[in-house]
Amino acid sequence: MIPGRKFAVMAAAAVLLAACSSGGGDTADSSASPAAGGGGPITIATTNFSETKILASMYQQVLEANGVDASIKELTTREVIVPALEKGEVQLTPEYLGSLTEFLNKEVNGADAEQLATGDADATFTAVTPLAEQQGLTLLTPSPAQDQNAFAVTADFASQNNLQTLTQLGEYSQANPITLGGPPECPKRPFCQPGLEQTYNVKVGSFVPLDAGGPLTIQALKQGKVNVGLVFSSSGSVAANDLVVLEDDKGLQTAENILPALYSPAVTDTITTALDKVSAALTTDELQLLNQQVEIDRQSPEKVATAFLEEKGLL
Amino acid sequence: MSATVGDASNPWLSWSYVQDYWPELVAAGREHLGLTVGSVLLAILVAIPLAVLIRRLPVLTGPILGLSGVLYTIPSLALISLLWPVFGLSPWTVIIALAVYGLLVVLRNIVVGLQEVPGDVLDAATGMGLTQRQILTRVSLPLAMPTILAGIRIATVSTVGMVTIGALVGYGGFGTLILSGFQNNFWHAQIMTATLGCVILAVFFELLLLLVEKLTLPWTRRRAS
Amino acid sequence: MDTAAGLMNVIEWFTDPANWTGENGIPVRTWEQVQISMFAMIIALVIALPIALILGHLRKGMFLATNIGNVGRAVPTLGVLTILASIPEIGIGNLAAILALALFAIPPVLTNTYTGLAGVDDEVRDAARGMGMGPMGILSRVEVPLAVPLIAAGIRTATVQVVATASLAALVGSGGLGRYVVDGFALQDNTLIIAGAILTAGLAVIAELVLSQVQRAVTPKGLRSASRAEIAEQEIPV
Repeated sequence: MIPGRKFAVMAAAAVLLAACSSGGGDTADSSASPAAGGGGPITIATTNFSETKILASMYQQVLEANGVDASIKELTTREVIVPALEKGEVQLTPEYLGSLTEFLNKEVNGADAEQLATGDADATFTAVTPLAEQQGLTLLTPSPAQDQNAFAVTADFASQNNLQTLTQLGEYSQANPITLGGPPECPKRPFCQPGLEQTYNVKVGSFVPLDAGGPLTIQALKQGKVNVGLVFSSSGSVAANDLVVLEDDKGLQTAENILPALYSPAVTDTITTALDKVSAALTTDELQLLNQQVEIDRQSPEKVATAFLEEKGLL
Repeated sequence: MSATVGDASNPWLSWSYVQDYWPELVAAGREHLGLTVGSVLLAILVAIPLAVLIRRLPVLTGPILGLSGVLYTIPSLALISLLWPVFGLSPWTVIIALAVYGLLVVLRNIVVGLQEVPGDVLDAATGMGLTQRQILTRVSLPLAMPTILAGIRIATVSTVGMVTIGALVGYGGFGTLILSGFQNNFWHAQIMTATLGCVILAVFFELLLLLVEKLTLPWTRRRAS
Repeated sequence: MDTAAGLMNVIEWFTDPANWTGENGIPVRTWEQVQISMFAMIIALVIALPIALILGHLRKGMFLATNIGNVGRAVPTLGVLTILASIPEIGIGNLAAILALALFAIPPVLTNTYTGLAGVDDEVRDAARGMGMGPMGILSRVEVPLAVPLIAAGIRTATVQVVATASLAALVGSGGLGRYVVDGFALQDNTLIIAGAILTAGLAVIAELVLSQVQRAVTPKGLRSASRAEIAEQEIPV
């Protein structure tokens, strides 16, 4: 029917174009070759969140300044990144102490493993280090900067009902069940809805699935679609949108210090020293300011990272 | 500084955005182009043998077009989601899903186009001693071309819009930028620029394929659709 | 990927009574999708029908009517949806979805209604005028009844697409069956994704079947063959 040659050409073209489109784009699946023992080029994996992009850019610039070849690859979630890290497809990623601990805990000890992460950063780090080693990962010293889950309400809501802490929210909610907004997994996560209900006795009337502390949650709070929303403590958007975080006075949240996670064979002294300096220089308040510059002022993560590193004399 | 979301510091159109993010925009455009062309070509490749089948066994017309009609109704979000567990994080998830939709339009237009060749023309051709194969290639196909090319054009322009949904699996061309702009604190400039990029690409294909129709079929004035 | 296990999980999900109750249950989400679609269609019809009826009757605006479909196809629904949701006055949630879908539904309704009316034979219109009918009479007693097949086809196409596309709304914080798909991707829960996809597809197919019967019912017997305009105008559901 169609002459054989034309058919073959079209088929080849279709395949070629498909192959081309898989090569481009910045969310390609991880296919970088593993670094063969310390000293090779480092691929830094980051998620879509601007905060991890800022951190990854800091790591990259500092490594390059110390003679290490480093590049950034944007992936999606921890579920994708950590397995890639364990296989050496990427070699470095900025992580959060408590969340990483629980992720590795479930990987090693099964889905029903008892929670190891707590509000105590040192204890949590001690608990996670052997797990990481078992999975072929090296975790460097955690930074004082943290990005914890937090619950926010509008400033009006807080002042009208005299709310500063989650305990007070629990009391308030007895007569006024609240509408809670958060990521889809919130009803099942101990740090989220179950935690509020059990630790603070909060009465949750209904749950609205939004995003993890992102613009949907912020908007929903502002529009009054939810009373309480899950946000991130270092987010630059909270104060800017007239929201206040209720204090976690009973310590429900785990410590979420930022720390570099590395594929063990790729670790060198140069890398460790350079990254440790970055971790030490970062505080939660400064992180919040950097996030604000990216989220509100729309500066690029790279520029913001460069300015920070130069200010701290790390570049 | 207290800038609320959606005020003066978040303009819809920003030339500095375009300048700063030109590489990302170009990369998104290339990915969008590749996914569109890949899908449509795949759709055409599958439509041709199916059309041949329908010509040989006209009784299959109803079932095949009917099945197509049902598949047609499945939202692309759903189809991409159903292919995701199978193909995972790869452009094929998007290409194959979108090719299904393109297939329906192209196949339907091939079938209808061929069916509409006037009976007397076919009789005359047979009378002139042409074989079935010659009638197809020298008479029916050329007469059906306007309808077929219109189908390809509609399928292509529709595919450009649907590629954006691929953003859910990381292969959405401009759609990835639209979605990440939205998730990045409702970044107006990125959302609008990426949407415009998509529209420009769609218009480009519409005009290009209209031109192809005009150039290859100079004798036809009337076009289907 | 273990297909058999995957299928078992999906079947389990559908047979789990917990998934049929509560604010995230199938009935609630389905009803949300239907509601969003209904409001969108009402808005689209209120805008598109009068314009198309007038233009079609007057035989004016052919360029607009026939090309609005092309323009509509070129604009990605995801773009319009996120743009609307990013406007503070509209905000995230169902309203943005309803407006975006209404915009999306206008072209097929407008084009088909216009084409249907403009396609009425001049002789028939003259005859009606000769019988003393005024413009409103001609419109309501002659043109519209003759154009019903195309108008119905346009409304049906638009409605099915809207029902299908309403799943996108979950990306901007609204409800509906798309919630299962979007939340499923966020949770990396394939069972939820597949269940959501099946439900969305199922609802769209049901809408198509129901509406094609309605279309048959309102089409005068003599005009019941599939028309070319219907085929050429069929949009692809996003």
